Amino acid sequence: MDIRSQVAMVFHLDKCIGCHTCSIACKNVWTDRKGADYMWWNNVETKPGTGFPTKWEDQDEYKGGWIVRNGKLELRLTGKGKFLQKIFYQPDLPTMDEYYEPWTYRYEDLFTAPETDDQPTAIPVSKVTGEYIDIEAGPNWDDDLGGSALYARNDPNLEAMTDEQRLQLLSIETLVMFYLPRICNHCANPACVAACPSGAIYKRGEDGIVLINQKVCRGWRYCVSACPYKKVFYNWSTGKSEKCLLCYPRVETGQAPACFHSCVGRIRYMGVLLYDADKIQEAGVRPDEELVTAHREMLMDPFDPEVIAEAKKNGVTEQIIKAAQNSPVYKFVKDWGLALAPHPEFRTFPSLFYVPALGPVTYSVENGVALNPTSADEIFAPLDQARLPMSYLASLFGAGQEAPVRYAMKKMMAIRTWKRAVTVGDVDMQVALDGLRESDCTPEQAEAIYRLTSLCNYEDRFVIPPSHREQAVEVLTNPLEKKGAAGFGFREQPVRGA
Amino acid sequence: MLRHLNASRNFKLMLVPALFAAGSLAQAQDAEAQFRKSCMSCHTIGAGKKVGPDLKDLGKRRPHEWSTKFITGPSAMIDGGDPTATTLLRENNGVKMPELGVTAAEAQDLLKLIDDYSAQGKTLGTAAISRPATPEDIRRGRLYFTGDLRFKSGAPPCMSCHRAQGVGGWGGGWLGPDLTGATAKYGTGLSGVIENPSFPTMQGVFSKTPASAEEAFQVAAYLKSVGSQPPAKRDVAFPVLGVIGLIGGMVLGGHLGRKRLKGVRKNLKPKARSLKPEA
Repeated sequence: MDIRSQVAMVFHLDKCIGCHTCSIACKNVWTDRKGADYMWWNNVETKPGTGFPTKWEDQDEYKGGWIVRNGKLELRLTGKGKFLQKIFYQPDLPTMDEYYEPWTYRYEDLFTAPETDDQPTAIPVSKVTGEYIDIEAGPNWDDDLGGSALYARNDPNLEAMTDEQRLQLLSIETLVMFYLPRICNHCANPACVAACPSGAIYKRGEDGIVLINQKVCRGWRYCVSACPYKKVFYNWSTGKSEKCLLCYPRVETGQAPACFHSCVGRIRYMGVLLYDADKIQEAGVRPDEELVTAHREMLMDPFDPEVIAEAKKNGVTEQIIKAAQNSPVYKFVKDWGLALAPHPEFRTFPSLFYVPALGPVTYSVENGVALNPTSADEIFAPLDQARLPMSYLASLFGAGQEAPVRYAMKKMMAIRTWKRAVTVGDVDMQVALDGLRESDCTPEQAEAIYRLTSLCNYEDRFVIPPSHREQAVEVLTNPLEKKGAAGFGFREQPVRGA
Repeated sequence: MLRHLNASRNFKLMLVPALFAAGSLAQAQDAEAQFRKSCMSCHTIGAGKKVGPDLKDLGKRRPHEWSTKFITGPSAMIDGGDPTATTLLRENNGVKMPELGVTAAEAQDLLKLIDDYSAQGKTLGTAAISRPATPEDIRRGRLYFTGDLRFKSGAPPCMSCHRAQGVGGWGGGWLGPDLTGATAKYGTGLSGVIENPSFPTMQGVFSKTPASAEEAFQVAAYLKSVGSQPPAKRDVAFPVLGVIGLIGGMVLGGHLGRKRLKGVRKNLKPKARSLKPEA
């Protein structure tokens, strides 16, 4: 066992309202700079949709992530031999067009325009060239299914569905959508780190945050192509690549990252996971249908004495282990099985997990009067008739396997029904309890899930251990080495009695 | 006072011939430089025949007027059917004296130089090596041409600017002309031309680092051996092959890179067809 600690995340999609506050918080803190203005380290996508950059999930185009070749885990983009062929011309680089050309408006024209019969306008100008730009794309161009005939219908996840399901998903009467906020997943097996020719990208030992050393980066941009989530961006002004750094200066001081902190719907959770790094290689080559299980098997029980002992051997402190035991992420992912990693088939083992969104609540109407529901099936449509087909969610969160998605959806629906029986009382309690049992849940667990979902405070959502930067420094240098050697010294030595 | 004046006058009288002597010395030096530059590749003074005749005692053989006219405009004389010029042409294996762009004044100086040297019995220049070229000479000449053997003076090899048939590889430089047919043009005078070139471009390089008479003879021998071979035909296949190779390379490159990322957003197509229910 090689137990390491990882700062991990859960996004509860059932609570996301798609307001983009997280994106704006991140943009204001980190990417409001020349060359970085097209980057959205945090973005919110509407699903079904093509996302940002366009169709990032389509690895036939972008060649991101890992694949199993002859029983070995290899980058889809490159290999040891292929790497040399491509080093000076990398054929799989997305252009700015796949993202969008950033623009602003010439606001000064509003004040300086000569007096005419028409109102002055501020024309859009490119932030790259400064010239007039005919805006054709933006980071959330397909927000709320805008232009769905083009964007939603080109969602790569629709490939997994039948024509009938596709028709149902996108016809106007049964239209459905949900939001998918995305940041860097700080993967356990990051493809960007593996692809970097300069060795500029690294995964921090103490908390697993993946960072790019801006002094070492040479702008090869292999990370940009290799990341299957397209969360490494090339700064065209500095010639270096940049990515989400999980606001590590905030995390190190015990604060949640800016996007987490600003989240209006409180959908974001952060906590420590202890994982066994020895299992990564073995788990990486498992067939698609076992990937969700393999990923969960990597995440170790923080209460297991053996795991604790092994973690301490690796320098994981007592406080980190304690944080891991209180981790909301561990509960959502392992204890409750509600949270799922996006596209496990990319085999990077993300540290960001999503609780899938439920479908809309339904009512039966008789003679114009809404009837009280009597069972779970009457509050929510049965999963097989859900507006959002399970095959879609399975493509997004289950590497094509519906079982883990169904498990999570069923459990969440059962908890809603049970809670309704408790508080509203219009559902038969026995039916609700049967529903819980059928979905592998006890009333105690249901209560815990309800509390962490609906009544969660700051401390419940963000369990961030102290990062002990002062100890981390000691690994590299002796902090007492320069004691007494620093400072300006005396210009004139004081002399006793003089 | 008077004595002083006399002294002064005497001094002036002494100065005049001194100045005159210095002037004529400078003139003589200019003329010699001119001779080396313009004449010496083909002529000597008192050292024997080269491409053209030995110019010793030229003043005694021909009037200066004729010589001046010939030096300043040889083609006009030869083409104009001047009897002496025609005879000379025949005597010297039909090698025409080139137009050297010498002015009449310069020609006068040159003739004076020739007369002075003849009178004093001095020689200028070296006669052509008259022994027949051996295969060893040809071999060494080729090495000098290609630069495998360096000229003793450190001059650059011929191949840096010239090409000749059978040099192999890329064939040599394209700055100067192809020397394959040089023998046909200069005949036995070739080694003189090499030793003491009268071309401004070559003078710039070789005036300070001339080839020795022996080296020049061997290079000339090599060029003669090359010149007797039939000239190579210009190979059309090679450039055609180049163009085909270029097009083929581009097609191959495009084919190998056909799976590259060619843009995603701009290639998005509305997918209406797949949304129709299966009837």
